[in-house]
Amino acid sequence: MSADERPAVPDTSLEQDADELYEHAPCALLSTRPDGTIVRANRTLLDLIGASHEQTLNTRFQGLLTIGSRIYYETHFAPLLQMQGFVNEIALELRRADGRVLPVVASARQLRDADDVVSINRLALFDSTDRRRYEQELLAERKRAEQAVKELSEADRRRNEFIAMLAHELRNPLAPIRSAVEVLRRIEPSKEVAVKTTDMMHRQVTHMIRLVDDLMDVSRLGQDRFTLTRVPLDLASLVHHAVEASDVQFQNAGVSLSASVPDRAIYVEGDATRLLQILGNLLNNAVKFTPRGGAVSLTLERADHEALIRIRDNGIGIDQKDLSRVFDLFVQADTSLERREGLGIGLMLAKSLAERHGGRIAIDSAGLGHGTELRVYLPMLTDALTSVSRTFGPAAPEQAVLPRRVLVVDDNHDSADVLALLLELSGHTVRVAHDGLNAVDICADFQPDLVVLDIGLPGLNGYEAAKRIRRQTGRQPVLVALSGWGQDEDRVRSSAAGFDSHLVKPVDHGVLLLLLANLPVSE
Amino acid sequence: MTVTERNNVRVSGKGDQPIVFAHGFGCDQNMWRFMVPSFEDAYKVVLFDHVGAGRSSASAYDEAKYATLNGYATDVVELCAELDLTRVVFVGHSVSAMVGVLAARRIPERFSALILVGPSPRYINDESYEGGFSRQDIDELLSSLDNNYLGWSRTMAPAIMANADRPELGTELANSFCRADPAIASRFARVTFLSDNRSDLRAVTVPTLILQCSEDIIAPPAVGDFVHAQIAGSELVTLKATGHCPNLSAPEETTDAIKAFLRTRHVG
Repeated sequence: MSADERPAVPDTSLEQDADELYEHAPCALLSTRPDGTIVRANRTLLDLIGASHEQTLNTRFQGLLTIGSRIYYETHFAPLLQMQGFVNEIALELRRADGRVLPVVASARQLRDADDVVSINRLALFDSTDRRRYEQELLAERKRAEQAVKELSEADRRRNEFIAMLAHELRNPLAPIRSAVEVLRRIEPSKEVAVKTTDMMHRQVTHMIRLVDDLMDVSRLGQDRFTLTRVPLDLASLVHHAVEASDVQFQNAGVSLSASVPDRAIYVEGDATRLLQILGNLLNNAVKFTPRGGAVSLTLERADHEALIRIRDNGIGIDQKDLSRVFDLFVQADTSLERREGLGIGLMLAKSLAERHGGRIAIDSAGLGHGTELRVYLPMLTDALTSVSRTFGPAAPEQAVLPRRVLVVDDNHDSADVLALLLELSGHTVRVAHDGLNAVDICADFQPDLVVLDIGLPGLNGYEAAKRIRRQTGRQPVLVALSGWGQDEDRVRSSAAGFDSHLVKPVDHGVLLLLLANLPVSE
Repeated sequence: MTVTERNNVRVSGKGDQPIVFAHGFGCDQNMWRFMVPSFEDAYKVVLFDHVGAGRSSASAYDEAKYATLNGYATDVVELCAELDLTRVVFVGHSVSAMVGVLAARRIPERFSALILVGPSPRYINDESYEGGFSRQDIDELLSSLDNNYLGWSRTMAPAIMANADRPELGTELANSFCRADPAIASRFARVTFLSDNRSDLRAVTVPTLILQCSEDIIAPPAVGDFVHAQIAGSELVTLKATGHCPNLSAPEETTDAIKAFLRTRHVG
């Protein structure tokens, strides 16, 4: 390499010139008095705003800003600078001499004189046009995301409402079917095939009603319209009850069910119906996933300050990877060969219900083919709190009934007729009405002991009919409201209208017959 | 939640005479830091943050309640009740001057003086009234606030970061004063700059001092004159200080003006 070909040494002498450095710095620089009066500005700033030295010096920095930025300067930038002695990276907008708006990022330092009085503020401004564009894009994206979340939760709300409506509509036809099956069972058909068939229909309808009830509950949990009526109660008698209720299902499935409870009562503060639902769902789950000849055991015990119910089966078990998902809505361990009937909402519902009781549910399995254990933990009441305990009553006893006069009112003719038939078979005298006005008329004439009154009637609705019946002279019947909506506000309304009790469709006939059996004997 | 928790109320000073300092839009109780020491000898100094600002409890923000300045006035009324303050000297800066006017209307029995620093009962011009801004200016400000969310979040980042998984970020960020919840701050801006409390001024019965800065684009001198004319018996002092925050740029001048007024009115 010859001397001529050697690369030239860059000339850096320009960088020794402070003025040159200042004037052509890669950011706009300016110095102001505390009140914002510009005392010095570099070339970069003048180029940025498209104004001359003369136009800029001795004017206020605030005057270079858009109105929006000027307010921001007065309410944020200036106070911060005075408090901290500096500000970093504040977004402002300049108005250029030609009227165009230019986004900048500004940082500033305060200088104090010998008496510690602020003498000068130094500012550096960076053109942030591109950055601002990206920020705007991010902002728009964020707004889109927020909108999407809003739409999703709205869709979720509508879905819950739809499920509630669906469950309501499904319940209506189930009522007469259940009653009809009950009638068929009671007329004691001579042929064995009829007995088998009606038993099957009874099982299937009961199963369907349970599914519809679960659907209804899931939608109410989703809408947060779920309230518990909690009282102190003994878990042991509740466990007995749950076992009793599941007995037929286990017999049919050929799975044995054993229960063990401690001698001393274990009290919890709970809603009996809901706790039974938890146990029912877990037992239902256990029997569903246990093959014929298998065994399910239920034990109740104390675990520290909690009541612990274990439900163990030796069924198909659950793969480790699926354990965490089983409580999710609509999830069933996905092996198409092993898929069982059901919506996959039973466990989720049981878990939510346990949590609403201040408890929890845990699940364990040693893997596929090794059975499953479900554990329900509920906070135990201390003994001092249990003096007001209430035991859970026995199921409706079969006993000789006193014949009563009953008026059944329902605009669904099938529902009304089949319920009437069932009550007649039980020895009662029954009249039927299909609308409110007719019901009020019959009531005055027939003088029933009990009126089963549907709420959703054409013309005069159930509430109005009840009010008119209550205004009638003579013997007052017991009024039972019948509706597809089992929500608390319905109960409050029906009680205000003069009803004595409120039943949800499809009505449990055992409950209705028990009600009739327990009516006060009239003189 | 107590008012003390909700509004991050701080009480200091050796005196019995209460003096309540209320910060304006854009900042928090820190903006009184240069003035407070000269009141602590003889006063009971009460500082607080409006809901959404500083270390107040943002969870207490209720959009309906704070849709007008009356919601903020309710907080002042509740603060006076909780601390059982009487003979209160209320110093309100910027929008809080009007908050003070509204509170004094509701509990005049608890107030002995109102100090309005850079007050404006209405920011938008209206027929012969000159608030200093056109409706278009305010719209530009409001849309610039909305659009500059990220620019804002730079100043407001500490408040957001402090709640996040990495609290260390909050303390390291440069601009650590005047924290605010960005969403609330944006609504507060709207409530502030669209407010019209001109008719509330005549109802003030408490001795009132108006402190007007010589050059203040947020609350121009004509607005100070208007407030002075509406509040019977009020006193107007024009400070040499410029800008909108004399409590920061000229704390001594501001303090002296307040003390002189309280002396002539025999308060404290």
